[in-house]
Amino acid sequence: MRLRMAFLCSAVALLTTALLGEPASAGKTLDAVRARGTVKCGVNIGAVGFAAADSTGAVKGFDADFCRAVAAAVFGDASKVTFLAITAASRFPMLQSGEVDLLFSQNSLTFTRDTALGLIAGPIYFYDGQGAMVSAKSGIKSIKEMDGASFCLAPGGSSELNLNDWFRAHKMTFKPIVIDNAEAARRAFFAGRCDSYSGDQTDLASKRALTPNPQDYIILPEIIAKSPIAPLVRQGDEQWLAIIKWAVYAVILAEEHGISQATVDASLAQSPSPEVQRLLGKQPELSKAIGLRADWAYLIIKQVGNYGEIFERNLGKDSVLKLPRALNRLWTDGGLIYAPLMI
Amino acid sequence: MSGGAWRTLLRRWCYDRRARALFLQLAAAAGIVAVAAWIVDTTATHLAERNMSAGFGFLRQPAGFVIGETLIHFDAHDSYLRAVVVCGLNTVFVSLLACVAATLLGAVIGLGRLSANPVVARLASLYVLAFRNTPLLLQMILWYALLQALPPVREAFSVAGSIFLSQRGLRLPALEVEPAALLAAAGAIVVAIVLVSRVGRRWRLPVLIASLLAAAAALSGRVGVDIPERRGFNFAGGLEMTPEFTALFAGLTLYYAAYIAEIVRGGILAVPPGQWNAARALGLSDRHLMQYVVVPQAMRVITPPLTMEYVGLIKASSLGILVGYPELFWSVSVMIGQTGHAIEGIAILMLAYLVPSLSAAAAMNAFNRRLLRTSAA
Repeated sequence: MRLRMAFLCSAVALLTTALLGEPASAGKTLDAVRARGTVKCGVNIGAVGFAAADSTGAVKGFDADFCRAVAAAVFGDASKVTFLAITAASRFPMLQSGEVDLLFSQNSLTFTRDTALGLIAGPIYFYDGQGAMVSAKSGIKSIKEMDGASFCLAPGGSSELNLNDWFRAHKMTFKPIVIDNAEAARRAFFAGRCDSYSGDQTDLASKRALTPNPQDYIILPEIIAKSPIAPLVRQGDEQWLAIIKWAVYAVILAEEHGISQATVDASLAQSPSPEVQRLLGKQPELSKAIGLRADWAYLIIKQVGNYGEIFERNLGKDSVLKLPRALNRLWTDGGLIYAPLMI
Repeated sequence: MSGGAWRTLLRRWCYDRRARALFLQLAAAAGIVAVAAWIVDTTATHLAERNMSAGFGFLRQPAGFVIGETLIHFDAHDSYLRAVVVCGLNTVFVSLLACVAATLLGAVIGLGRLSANPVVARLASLYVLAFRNTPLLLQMILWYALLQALPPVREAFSVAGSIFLSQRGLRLPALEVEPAALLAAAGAIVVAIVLVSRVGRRWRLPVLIASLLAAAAALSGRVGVDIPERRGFNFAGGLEMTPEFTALFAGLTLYYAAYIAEIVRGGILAVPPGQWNAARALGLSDRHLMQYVVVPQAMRVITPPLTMEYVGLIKASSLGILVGYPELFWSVSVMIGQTGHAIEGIAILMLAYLVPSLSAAAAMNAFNRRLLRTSAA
């Protein structure tokens, strides 16, 4: 019911703004965010490791930290962010209608989402892949053995499509059980309703980590589809898009240069590298073009950390999930995480 | 026409009630049309400014997803429109079955509450109390969770090796008949019914036997029984009742039966005691008392609120999305998730729920009018 209300509310909001609202234009979003005093960030609340409330009620996670990075860049204060829970169906209307300023909500980037919805994507900040989890007892070693099997899915827009594409390409069939309630879908799989649960591999890992017997389930090695995860903003406000892009690039550059939360002050004082000096705000005229204060990147690193710290804290060795960095290593370590030049 | 003639005409219209009413109606209609046009126009302009494509053209694109259970064939190549229609049929299917089941169960429980037997009456009121005072969604999720507590496929309960019950659902043997043979047999039976009512008493039996033989001949060799068997990951063949369908169907039936029970009870209590006494004084048996005196009068009271419950049930079937049954709301939700056409999707949903709800209301109103006419006569 709550879900349907959220869905309906955002549809109504979208209709109202479609009628009365102003379209996004350069600078508008930043002005509105500043006037409001907080960044409204749409996240997938409940996805452990990405955005989930801890015992004190604070929202923790990889996506949540990127929202905080944007707040640090805009306000110099990473806590000035309001997290809004999204659902698969409500997230795009929420962004289109201006209910949120941006989405860091585990969105796989697709052509349609980048073009047709009036939205535009920022940089890919996480490389995931859709896979499948089965019970260890089943003895299944590969999705190729699963002709005719049933798959529990939480609707995500692209996961049903990817699964169907893969099975068609392999001339196999499957039976989908799609439950629009992530918790119920999870429970259905662990109760044995389906032969497999399909979703992004990190999502599978977090679901498995939270069961009483994680060793009873295995995540199959195949990746049936890429899941490039990227933030989304509204089309038409290039300045806001630039802020989101560079908030992501700043944490990547920080890791490239070995600047961490703990060492950022020392780097600011002593680093001989001109790029580090530029990143940390020693050339204030650079920041003018983006409409932010000179030390925006310094504040992000100081308050949120670099890419590696954000990863390890929420998904990696310092988290319950213990995921390997895999593709999300820096390009210098053989991964895909890469940022443009700070000049 | 001269100015004076116009003035007289206007004055006459001003004082004519019908002309005035007509003018006001037209003005109101024009106002509504203008507002609607403004809404459509502004929405379209603003959507274009936001670089969002609008329109229903996307309905022709292939859906790309598969639907778990369907009444008619659906494939991922098929269009979004077909996906919505297929899932709309699922909504109609589960709603119709639940309406019938809830009515039967509700009538039994409503009569039970009026029973002279205190155990039956208490049990019935306990049922109403429990099912009416907890949220429907909660009940559905409970049924779904209970269905998953059944044994896994490998250890399914089995009756005579042909009925299987597991956490993947219920599998029953299914009759397999060629459509043409079924049509021929149905034709033979229709002919038989017509003939039996026309021919003299002496010929009835022979005609009946002949037509049954004809029907049997049409079907012979073309009927098979499809017995489910374990194959691969699940059972194959037979008739399948999935846990998703069962949770939605049971949830709707049990919840609405509690409301219908109270409506039935209220309807029967609304028949004045004098009517009962009079019928008994005439020496009518209990069955005839109900059939000729109580039920016809109670139906007049029952029908209007019953309509409301049916309409409510159809709309509540959209909760199926939360237990994984692919109904109308589910399909539109997936479609919006994939294409982002939220405004069009919501418009389709509103229209789609309006149609069955309004037609249920119209059918029940017609039924009510007939009841009123017959009872007035």
